Amino acid sequence: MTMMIYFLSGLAFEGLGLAAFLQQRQGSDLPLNKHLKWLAAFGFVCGVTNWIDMFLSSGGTQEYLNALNILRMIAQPVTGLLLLIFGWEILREIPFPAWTIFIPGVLIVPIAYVITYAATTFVTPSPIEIPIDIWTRYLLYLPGAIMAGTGFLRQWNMQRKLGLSDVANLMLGAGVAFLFEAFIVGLVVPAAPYGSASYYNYNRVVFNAFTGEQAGLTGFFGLTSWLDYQKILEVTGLPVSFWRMLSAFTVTFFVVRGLGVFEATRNRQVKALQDERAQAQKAALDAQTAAREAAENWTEALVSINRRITELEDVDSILLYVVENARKLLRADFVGLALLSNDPSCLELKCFSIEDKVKMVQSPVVVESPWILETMQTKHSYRSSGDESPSMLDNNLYGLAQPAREAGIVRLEMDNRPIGVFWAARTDEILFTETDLIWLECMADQVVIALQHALMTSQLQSLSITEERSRIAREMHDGLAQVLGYLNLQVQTLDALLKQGKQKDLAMELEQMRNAIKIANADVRENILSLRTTLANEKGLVSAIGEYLQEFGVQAKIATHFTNEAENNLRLSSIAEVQLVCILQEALANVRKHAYANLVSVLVTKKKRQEGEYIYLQIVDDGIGLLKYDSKRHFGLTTMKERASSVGGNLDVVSGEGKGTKVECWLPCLDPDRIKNSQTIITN
Amino acid sequence: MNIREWTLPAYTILTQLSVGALLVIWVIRALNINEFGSEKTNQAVKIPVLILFSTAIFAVIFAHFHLSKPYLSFLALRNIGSSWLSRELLANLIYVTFFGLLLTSLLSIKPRNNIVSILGWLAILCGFITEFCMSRIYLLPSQPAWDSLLTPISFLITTFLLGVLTVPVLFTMDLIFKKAQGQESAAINSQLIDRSLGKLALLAVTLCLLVVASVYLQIASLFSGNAAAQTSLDLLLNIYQPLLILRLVFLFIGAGLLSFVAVRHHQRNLAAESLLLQVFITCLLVLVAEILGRFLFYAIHVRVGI
Repeated sequence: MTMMIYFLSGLAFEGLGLAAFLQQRQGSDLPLNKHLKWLAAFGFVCGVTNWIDMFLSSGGTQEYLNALNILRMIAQPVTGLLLLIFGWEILREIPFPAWTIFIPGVLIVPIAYVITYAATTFVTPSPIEIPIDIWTRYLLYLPGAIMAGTGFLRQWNMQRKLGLSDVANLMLGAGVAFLFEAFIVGLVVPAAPYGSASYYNYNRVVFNAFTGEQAGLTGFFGLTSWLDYQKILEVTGLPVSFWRMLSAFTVTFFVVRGLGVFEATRNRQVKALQDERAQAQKAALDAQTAAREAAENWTEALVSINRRITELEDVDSILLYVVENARKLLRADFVGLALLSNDPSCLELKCFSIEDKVKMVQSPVVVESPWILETMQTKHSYRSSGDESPSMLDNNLYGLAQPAREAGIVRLEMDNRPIGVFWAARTDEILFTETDLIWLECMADQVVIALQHALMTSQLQSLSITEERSRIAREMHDGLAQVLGYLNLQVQTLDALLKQGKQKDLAMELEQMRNAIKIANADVRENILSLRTTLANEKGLVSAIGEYLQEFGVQAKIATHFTNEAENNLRLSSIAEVQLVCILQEALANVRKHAYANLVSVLVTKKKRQEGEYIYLQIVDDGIGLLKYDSKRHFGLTTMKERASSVGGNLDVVSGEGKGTKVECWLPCLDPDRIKNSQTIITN
Repeated sequence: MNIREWTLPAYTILTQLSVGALLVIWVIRALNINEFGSEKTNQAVKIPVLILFSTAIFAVIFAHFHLSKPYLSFLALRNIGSSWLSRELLANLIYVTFFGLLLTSLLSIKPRNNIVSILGWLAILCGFITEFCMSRIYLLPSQPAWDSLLTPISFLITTFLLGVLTVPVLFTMDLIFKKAQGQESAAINSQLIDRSLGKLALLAVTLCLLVVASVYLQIASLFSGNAAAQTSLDLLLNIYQPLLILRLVFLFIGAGLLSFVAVRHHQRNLAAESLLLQVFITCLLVLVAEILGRFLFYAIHVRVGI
């Protein structure tokens, strides 16, 4: 039975050693892994010690038993030493509080006494293996197991505080098991055949190892009088070897389970890595989404600006739209646009946006920021890096109490010449990124395009008017030239007829000349009226049309009727307005020349079609109608149709012989909402 | 283990340790107080003094376990006029009292340097008086092994030896503690160790040689003594010879190791806190040696007469 107990004890410790060895070979980042080699060594050697006990208990020859005893005397202290090293290593794995530095100082005296006491018992004549056994247990096993148990308990406490209860519980079992081992293996010692160490009684040997005689002394043999093998047997009914076997299995079971901490830690690390990766992916996705949304917002803003520019919106409203959107998209506190004034060295603030307001500057505000002025001189855009001196950012903000902390500045260029500056500023210390600067530059480009477009439109309008005036002047000139040439010939004819004395023919020629002059006069008056109408932009087109019709009626002596069902602002583009006037003039000219009408009615109104709102111009006369063979009049109608279609409209003519003529012209209006927004942004 | 027997050596050894260490600390303090100032120097010695006071208290507690009726220990004070035991007990009480006052003064918010110094020297004086009374107990004509001048001399040597070996351990532990706490006075502790370690090592070696000399003189004295003395000598050189040899070996290893540590520390300019393990081992060895010595002191006594 004893042999089986020792065998199983040895097996348990060998298993412990093997498990620790295999785990240590797997490797781990856990600091505990470094100490497993001592635990493995302890397990192996302790197992061997138990098997030596097993062979010792089986008996044999004296030489055999002596050899086993010698092996045991070596193996047992080595086992204790390995346990002591493992216990110390695992105990100090977690840093000690500062005050624990004094513990060695406290323990030095009891340690010295125990060593001294051990020394006094060692030098007495007794079987040496017994003191070795006793003092190995007291001096090596006991502190080693206590330290190992305490070390595992400290690990349990640490893991518990970290919230890792699965790992913590594994440590707790191992700690308690080692403390039990400390008691049953470290404190319970064999009886020694010598009396208690006493300097009053030297003769302490109960059984003299040399003579074999039994002395009369009895007494206790270890440090305490109640922890020996006999006492355990009396109290529990089982030999101490059985309890030690139980302790061996307990330690092995809990420590092997405790080694599950490596697996648990690995799993946790893997999970943490997976969580990290998922978070990183999510963060990347969020960043991509945010970047895409930002890009979409910017693109939408830029497209919207572009659309406004192509639809020939008022340039001031476009600039206000640009600064407002730039501030919102950049999350800036201020966005400003300044343009060079007539003085090339003077930069004037044109418009800016702060908080939820956007404002066009009415009175001149000179920009004095040194950094903005410096940017004007260079071709590069700038953004603050956070290291600038505060004076550089002075006067970067208008309309806000706080000073600017960060800024991004872009120079506006047209035809490689600086025309102004576009900049954004923040009152908190959030830097503008490179991407922000790129977007700012895109907005600046749109500002330049808008300004260019406005300039071109103004030039185009002037050009259209100029062309129209040139055409009218040419017609005047051609018409007058023709009439004057005709009149010159007629004068010569009159002269000839006068000399011939043909009075009747003379009178007829004079009548023809009178008619020609009359027609020429009417043409000149009409052309002059046309010239005046093209200059009538200040009064409004509808008013100009009304005045033109009235004058036409006076000159042509035809009754006119004008109906205006549209507001004064027809919301036509400038070119469309010009074409509308030309169409009306052409139509009225046709009425005067060819229709022989008594009344001409003109209607201007707004009508809705599927595509949108249109200006509807209707000219109706009660004349003779459009004759099929009147090629000249047909040519004029074609020109009118071309004029209408050139601005996206269309023109129809309804006419019949003797039934008068109706000319209908449709010209598309500009979008009213865009015009309204650009006008209502201006607030103060 | 016979608790009653082993508490007596515990009492004597611990008392001697506390007196010797207090003396060494106070001398070091006196030599450095002008340079560092009283406040910083007192700060540097506060915790070692606290530990030594605890040692003195434990010694008094252990002394009671030597008695069959510890609760009647106060009765030992009744014979001050005639009994060295009573005088020893009284002196010990006064020593512990002055030690307590010293500690209280050091722990106060603004310790007055003069009072601290005086209390320290008074405590040391009473400690040595206790030592003297302790050694006088054993000067008994019926105990030839004890009845010689060598008894108080050996007690004195033990006092100095334990003091010399204990102080480096106390200062080093205190240094490590203060550094961990981030206290500025740690620098003072470091300098005190640097300055005193060499001298203490030299003293330790000298005292070891004195121990050897006293052992030799004791052997010579016993050799020329009466039958009881001869019996004591026989016990010492035959039965307890291994312990005697062990004592001397531990003593010289301890003192030698301390010297080696001091030389190495001086040559390599090592950090003082790295010396803890070495000075701890030296102190442990010498402490074991002195306890063995005390064991032998008690073990070889042979009473003459009834």
